[in-house]
Amino acid sequence: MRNCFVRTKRRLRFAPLAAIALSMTALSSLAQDKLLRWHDNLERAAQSARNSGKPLFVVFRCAR
Amino acid sequence: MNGVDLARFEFDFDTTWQAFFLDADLNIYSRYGGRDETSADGRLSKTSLLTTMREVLEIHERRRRQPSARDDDVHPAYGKATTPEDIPLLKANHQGCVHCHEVQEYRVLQAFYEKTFSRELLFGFPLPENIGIRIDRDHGHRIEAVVPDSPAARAGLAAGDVLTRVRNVPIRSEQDLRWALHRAPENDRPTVSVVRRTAGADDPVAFHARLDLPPHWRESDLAWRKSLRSVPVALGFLAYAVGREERRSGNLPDDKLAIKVVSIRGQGLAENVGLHKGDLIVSLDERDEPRTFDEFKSDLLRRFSPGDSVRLTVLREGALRTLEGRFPDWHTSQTQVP
Repeated sequence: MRNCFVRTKRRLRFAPLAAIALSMTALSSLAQDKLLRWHDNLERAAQSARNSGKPLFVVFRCAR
Repeated sequence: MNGVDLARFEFDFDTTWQAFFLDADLNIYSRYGGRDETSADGRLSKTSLLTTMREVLEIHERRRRQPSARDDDVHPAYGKATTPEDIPLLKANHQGCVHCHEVQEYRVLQAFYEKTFSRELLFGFPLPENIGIRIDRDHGHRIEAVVPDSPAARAGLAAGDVLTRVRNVPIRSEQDLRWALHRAPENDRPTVSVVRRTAGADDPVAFHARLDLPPHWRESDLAWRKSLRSVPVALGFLAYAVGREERRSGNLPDDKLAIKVVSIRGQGLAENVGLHKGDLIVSLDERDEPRTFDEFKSDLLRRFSPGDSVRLTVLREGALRTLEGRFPDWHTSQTQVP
């Protein structure tokens, strides 16, 4: 399933807490997988999705 | 959140993680995320995420093959595009990165100054438990249990039923359900579509039911929410929950409410009920479960509206006293988020 989605991530603020919070989620192995190539631009990700025919997987994460 | 279209990417902005599945035209197939008062990730699991992913891929492929597929395969859109920078108070007072919770806080403050604030603004994304169901965490939108005599039970829902649609929202995750409930108008009787597999039957049965929701059905614990600090309520006092050591030295039981008032400031609930500095609050309307100060504040907001009578029991100079006064009108002088 890994290659079925175009992934984009809206990064909000990068702080140590963000990484800690993310690693606590059950999704950490997915999110931290270095094999994943994340877009950081929604428009480009949408264009990539259009070209590839894949759906988009958009992630918001926020450090407090 | 700078520049994010809040109308499209609507989620519970007090959470720290949220995912969306969309097509290339940014139609939303599913929302995945959400939390409760117990933990930030207790409602997430790899298996439920995989369930959602499989269902998204299935519907995406079906819509690719049939471009004229129905619009009700995706989440409905609400309103025109709007960004955090369209909130006047945020635009005027905030610089740099906009955190998710700050969106919610500025929305609350803006609503107060525009005189549109209501308690309902605090209780977004109702939990499945609020309608009487517990979701199977490993699936995401299959019912694990139904509370007897709850709205779900009265609608005929049962354990094992898979929720497929609530109102006009296709359900592919628990967060889809919560968003559908979040968007339900007041006094609505949401239609719920489910698929039920019965032992011995070859085919599952699909049916619809309607939920009759009681007053206050949206309300859940607010204590975990960062936005709690920006709610326009004037408590008029600062306090803390008494810790274990102080309880021992003061002969206070560990399993009872103990909120110590450390200062009285300005007008608000404290003045209305006659709280004094040094008072120890030991019950709120006869309820004395132990609470942090944020949980105590959450209880106040869940149970009272402006004008309601609030009754506190306090320990003052060694004697119990009952204090009573009105819950204050919504008020804040805050115009920016700390």
